[in-house]
Amino acid sequence: MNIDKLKNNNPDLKIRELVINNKTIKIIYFESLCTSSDINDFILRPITNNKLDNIRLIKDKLPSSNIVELKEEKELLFCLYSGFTIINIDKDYIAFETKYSLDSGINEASNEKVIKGPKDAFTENYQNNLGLIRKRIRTDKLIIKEYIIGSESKTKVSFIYLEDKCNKDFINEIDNKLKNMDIEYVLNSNYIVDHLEDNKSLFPTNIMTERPDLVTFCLLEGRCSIVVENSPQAVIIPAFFSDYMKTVDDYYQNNINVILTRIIRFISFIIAIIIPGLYIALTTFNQETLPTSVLINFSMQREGVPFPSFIEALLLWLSFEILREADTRVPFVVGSSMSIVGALVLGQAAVEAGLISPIMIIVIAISSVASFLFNDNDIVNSIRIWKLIFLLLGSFVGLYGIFIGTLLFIIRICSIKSFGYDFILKRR
Amino acid sequence: MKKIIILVLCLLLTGCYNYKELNKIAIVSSISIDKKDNKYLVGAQVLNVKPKDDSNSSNVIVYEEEGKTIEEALRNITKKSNKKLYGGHLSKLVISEEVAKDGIIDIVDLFQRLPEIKDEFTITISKGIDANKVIKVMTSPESIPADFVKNVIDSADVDSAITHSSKLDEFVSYYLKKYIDPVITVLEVKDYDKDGTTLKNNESTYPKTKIVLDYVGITYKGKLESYLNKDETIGYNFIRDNIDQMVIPIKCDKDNYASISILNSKTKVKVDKNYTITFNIENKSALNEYNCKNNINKNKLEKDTNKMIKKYINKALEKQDKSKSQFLGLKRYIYLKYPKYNNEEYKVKIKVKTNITRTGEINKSSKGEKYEDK
Repeated sequence: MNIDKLKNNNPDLKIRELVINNKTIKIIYFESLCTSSDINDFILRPITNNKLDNIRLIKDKLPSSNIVELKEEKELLFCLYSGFTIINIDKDYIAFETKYSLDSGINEASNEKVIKGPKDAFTENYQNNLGLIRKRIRTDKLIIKEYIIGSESKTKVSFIYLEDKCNKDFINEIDNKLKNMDIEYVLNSNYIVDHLEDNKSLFPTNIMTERPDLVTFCLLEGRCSIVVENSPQAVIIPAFFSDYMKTVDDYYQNNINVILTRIIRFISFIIAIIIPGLYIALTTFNQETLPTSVLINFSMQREGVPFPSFIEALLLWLSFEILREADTRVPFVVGSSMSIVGALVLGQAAVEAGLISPIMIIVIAISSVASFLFNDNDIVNSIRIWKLIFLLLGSFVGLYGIFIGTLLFIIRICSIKSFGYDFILKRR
Repeated sequence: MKKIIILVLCLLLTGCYNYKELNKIAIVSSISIDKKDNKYLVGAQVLNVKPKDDSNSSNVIVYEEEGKTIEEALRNITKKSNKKLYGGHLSKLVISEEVAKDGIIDIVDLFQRLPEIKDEFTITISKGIDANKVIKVMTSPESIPADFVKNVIDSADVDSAITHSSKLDEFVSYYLKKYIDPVITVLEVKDYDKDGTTLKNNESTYPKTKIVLDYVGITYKGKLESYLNKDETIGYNFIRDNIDQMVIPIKCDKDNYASISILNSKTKVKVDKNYTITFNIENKSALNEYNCKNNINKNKLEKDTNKMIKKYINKALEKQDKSKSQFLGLKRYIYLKYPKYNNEEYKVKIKVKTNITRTGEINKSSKGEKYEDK
């Protein structure tokens, strides 16, 4: 056993040697992964008090819920790295769980906020995450299959579904892919999804959520979920376009109100994508489509602006995106000063300097605000790219370009497949 | 990635065809056409883009140029204007009387051909004044003069049926059709002088120079033939089923009048084998004004209204008999039913049915209910 070699490279590896009845008992553990009080109370004290010098006796007498008898070296290292304490007498090895809980406890969901409904969220603790789902579905039909993925990270990944609701072929397909997954390490749940499917579209084909209630809803609908160790986000597969138009909050409210809210979400999705391009197409190519009074108003505002509308829109869009990116990266404390600078510099000052017309600010602002109705970052990013495509088409070819863009968009979104399911039609 | 780059480069191939920035175009709201020494004198009323709080400058500018064709004259305007003329928001075309007598259809051709111009602008004739003076009149500082005139025409057409707003598409389609000729809206200018073209015109509550609607003009083979008077215009609108709302004054005793407001009128046309055209006019009306002593007699009022409507129509029919223009399109009604029809004699019958459904918020005559007389 090359424990000593391990010791050189791992300063937090502790080896405690006891001599009882002339036998040397080695107690090996990682200080950083284990609770030392557990080792004192439940391993050291019983052994010294009872003078246990036999591996059988130790196994029987020590109070521990999780004991592994080790036969191979590989197993030993895995246990050691998972927070087990290993006891070695002669050539026998046995491992006791003394894991130190290295997580932040169950917190409120920070990114997917709801007004009504449960507020708990997944954490970095794998067992907690499984527990959060388990306590919502109390049936033996809930299947959790566990895999260990990652040649270096050895991350636990579980594949969860309801036996009677989920498509068998789909389960087998995912099961096979997970079994044969060959990657070095898994740092977050999206690593798994990226290897499960090669998604070339701009739209995400899975939902990454921190809300156990959303996962439960989807499981009950017959979808599957993947929970990854050390990742506070569970993945739901497959995902459909309509999922991004919903929030969990919808399920906790009066359905008539929710219908209106969803219509608003659809409208703002279209607004977010199309408005900047449409505005440029209408004002630089197809002025006849606007009422005269509106046109006069627009041209009054554009008077004196040095750039063509396209450059104007691009500049404003770019500065808005810079601001947004900065806002997500800066610490919370500096956030408010950022927004003041943004509002003043981008809004008022740019208009007063005559660089940008006020109507352009309205157009870019409404389309950006509309895209923030969607809390999934992936969909916001895909909206951003489609907005740019429409902007280009609108400013080079006018309304005709918007028409082509709309066709392109419909063709693209209809050809997306999420794990073999149709992204729009929700069927296989 | 290669594909995407090629696609993006493809966009550049369009060369931004038809691209025009908003602050580089001059929006034309009206065009006037006169003739001067065998050349067209074309005036373009262009919207003046000014800051919102600037009330000292006019909101339109008129440019004038000559040319052998209308387009040439319009292009000559670029000598004076820093922006390119843009006709997508043209709302009216003013043609002077002399030009209209020479032929309206020659002028309309350009406006049909240009793709950016809508088919919905109104064609008008300036009666007794140069067309360019009509577009120079300052109406209201807040509104665009062309819009102002257009609203006047539309409201006169819809609310009182004393004119007909002739749009380009209607004009051309009636011109092309057999047995029907288009009519045309007529404008007049009252007390035109230099001050009428400046902001001064709006200083008084009673502007001196103003654009007034006349009734309609009738055309024959695309040329202006003559004008209709008020009664004939109303008769024309009844026959062509153009009535939305209008008011008919009715005598209810020796020297007092009542006014019947027609709310909804429908004209149905029937043609029989002997080429008799029957107009069935049905309308719903309201009594809105009643100045007589005697109590309201609905039946009598309805009969009188019928008579008045018949009178209007007969006047229009008389005018039709006197003129070459087929502005009423009577023969077309026959032709549509009997395509073999060839200019034979025809008769016209008129049936009017008025139905007074409302008498407003009071039922009786106020004069008749006066206490002392009872």
